[in-house]
Amino acid sequence: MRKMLILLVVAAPLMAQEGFDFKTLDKLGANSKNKTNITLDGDMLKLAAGFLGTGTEIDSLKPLIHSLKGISIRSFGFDKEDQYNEADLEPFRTYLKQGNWNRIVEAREGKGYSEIYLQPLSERRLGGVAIISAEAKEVTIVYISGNLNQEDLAKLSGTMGIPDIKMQLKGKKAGDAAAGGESRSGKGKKDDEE
Amino acid sequence: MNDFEDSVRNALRREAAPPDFAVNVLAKVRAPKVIALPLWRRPVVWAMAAGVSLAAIVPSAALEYQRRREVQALEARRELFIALALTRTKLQQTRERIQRTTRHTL
Repeated sequence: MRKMLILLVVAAPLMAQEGFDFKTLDKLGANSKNKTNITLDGDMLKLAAGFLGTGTEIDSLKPLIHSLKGISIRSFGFDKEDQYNEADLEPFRTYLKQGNWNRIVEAREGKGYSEIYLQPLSERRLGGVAIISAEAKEVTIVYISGNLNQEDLAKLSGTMGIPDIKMQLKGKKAGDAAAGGESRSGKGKKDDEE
Repeated sequence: MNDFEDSVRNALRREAAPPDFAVNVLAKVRAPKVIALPLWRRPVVWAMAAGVSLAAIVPSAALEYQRRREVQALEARRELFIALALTRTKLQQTRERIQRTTRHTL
């Protein structure tokens, strides 16, 4: 019995790191006008990687995509200010704290703020990047896990290799997609639509 | 003694079988009944039908699977690009916010 308890105590934090349940963030977008909901697990990323095509930009992007394990994005846009409760972000922050993620940036400006978290793995390797970005009428959570290096981070933050979103969305406004004109899941299951 | 021998010989003498013996024996042995099954009940026919059906279904199912996989992959690729673009935008916004707030404090 005692062994079982010890095992549970040891395993609990590990189990907590299995993955964050992004459905807990759904409350955040209860009053949202637009939402973007993207969940790409390892299998879907591999599948997408097989259809990236070729070209200088795409080729430079491939190592980054191969080093990714998963991407989850929740972005909610609102008509008016104060339409979301900041406390609904706490489960995500708690998850990051438990997983030894380091908050490397916290910038506040008026009603908006940005937080960037990195999970250090070993020397010069990262387990992922997480971003919480909040504006008066928009809140976005980005969670990227993988085995990244500094070059991958540069690719994520710069324009290098990442195609313009307008190129990918024929017939749709880029702003709509970025601001969340739709709700999709990469696992083939549609999450709750508005 | 001679009488005894004679009676024994007489008892054991070879006698020819009656002429209809062979016919009677054969008539009593039942010949196996050959039942002619209808075509639809023959296992060979079923096996052949199953083979033909599989040959028709498997390639079309494989094609359909491949088509669905391709659609899924293209959708995943589209979402991947949106995700990366959104990440890039948010990182750049953060960078700009830091620059602005730092400028104010300085």
